[in-house]
Amino acid sequence: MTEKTPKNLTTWRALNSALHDILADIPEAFVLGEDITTWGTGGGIYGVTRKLVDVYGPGRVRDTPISEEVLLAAVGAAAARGTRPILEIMYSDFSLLGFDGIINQAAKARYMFGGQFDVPLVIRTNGGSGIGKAAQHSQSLETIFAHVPGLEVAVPATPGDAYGLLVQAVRTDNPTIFLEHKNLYYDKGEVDFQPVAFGQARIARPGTDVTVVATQQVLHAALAAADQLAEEGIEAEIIDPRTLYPFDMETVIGSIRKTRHLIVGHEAVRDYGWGAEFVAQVAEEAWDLLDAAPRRIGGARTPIPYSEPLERTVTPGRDEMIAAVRAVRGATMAEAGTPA
Amino acid sequence: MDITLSADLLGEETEGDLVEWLATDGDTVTQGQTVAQIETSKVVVDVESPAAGTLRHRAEEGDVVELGQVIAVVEE
Repeated sequence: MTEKTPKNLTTWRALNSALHDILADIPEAFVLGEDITTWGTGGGIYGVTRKLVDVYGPGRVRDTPISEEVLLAAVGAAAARGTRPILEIMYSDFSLLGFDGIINQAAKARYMFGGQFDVPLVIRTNGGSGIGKAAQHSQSLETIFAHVPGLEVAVPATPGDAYGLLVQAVRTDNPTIFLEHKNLYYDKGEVDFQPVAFGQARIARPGTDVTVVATQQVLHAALAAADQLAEEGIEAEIIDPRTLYPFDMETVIGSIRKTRHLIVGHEAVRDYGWGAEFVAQVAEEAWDLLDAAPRRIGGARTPIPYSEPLERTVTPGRDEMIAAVRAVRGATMAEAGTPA
Repeated sequence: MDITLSADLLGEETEGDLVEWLATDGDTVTQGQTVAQIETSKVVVDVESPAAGTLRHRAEEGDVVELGQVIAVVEE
């Protein structure tokens, strides 16, 4: 890959650049999905595949019929035969139509066929809420994917990570669920055009008093909360795991060793969410490092409402994060006899 | 008068490609004349001159131009 100067890009453009670079560098790679050459000004519902077909042609950039079940079965088989498909599923909610292809086939094929082939498949899709898309277009399904042996799950929160994780996902030989967030496509940030290894968390903000592990929109809420908390004398260290499987526990435990307090935040429904698994792992591995019980914040146990004010109410934001941090730190401060 | 990219033009998006100047640098333009086309991921939008005068470009074709950016000035 040629060295490129860092640029300030929106997430969708960063992903578009990544696909350009992937198609240029990897002859086995091809892109397919519904409306990926025709929507808007020539590329997918959020522009990610824009104009790729003009450069790489309809053989490698393919519009498909609306049939997620067929698409998800076909790409697993295509990957097993030596290609590197990158499939766009318009909304992650629609991937539910093709779970057999993902979970029973792609995720298990290498194991069940004695390692005769790999399944270097990337399923790009978007999750999350925030722009009034209602219950069947706004779910955060990352926990479901992270639960399945054989799948890797990426959850980029910044344009730079979106680029880096996508080029990495295509290079690896495992099926990857690449979950973009629909309310972060128009965010801008620096893109350095470097791959980002899976299982390497990023410290989004260094701090000393509490460790906050959060993804995507909740990560941004945590960063906003940290400014307010700093005024109150609480310095939050904010960690973006970037991939849920593999998960960089080492970085988190290193942080807890310093802060002795932990909060996890995600937009996925809190009940049975990945934060619960994560907190349980921390409890098993690093109980002695914690001065207070960890806390989880996550989506309410409800379908996402269409109304934007209600949507904001059922998903965690800055205020919920501030309250959670105050509660966790307050418990310790009260014990130590300092006013919270 | 500045020609600034507003949310009215870009909708929910934060930037677009300046695909074409329809009036060249130094042209005399009229109020309401379409002087440029901006392409977002969803639509192509026409940018109109807010006043009559001489158009001075502040961005080039091919640039990614942002919400709030002044892409040209009309000298009245």
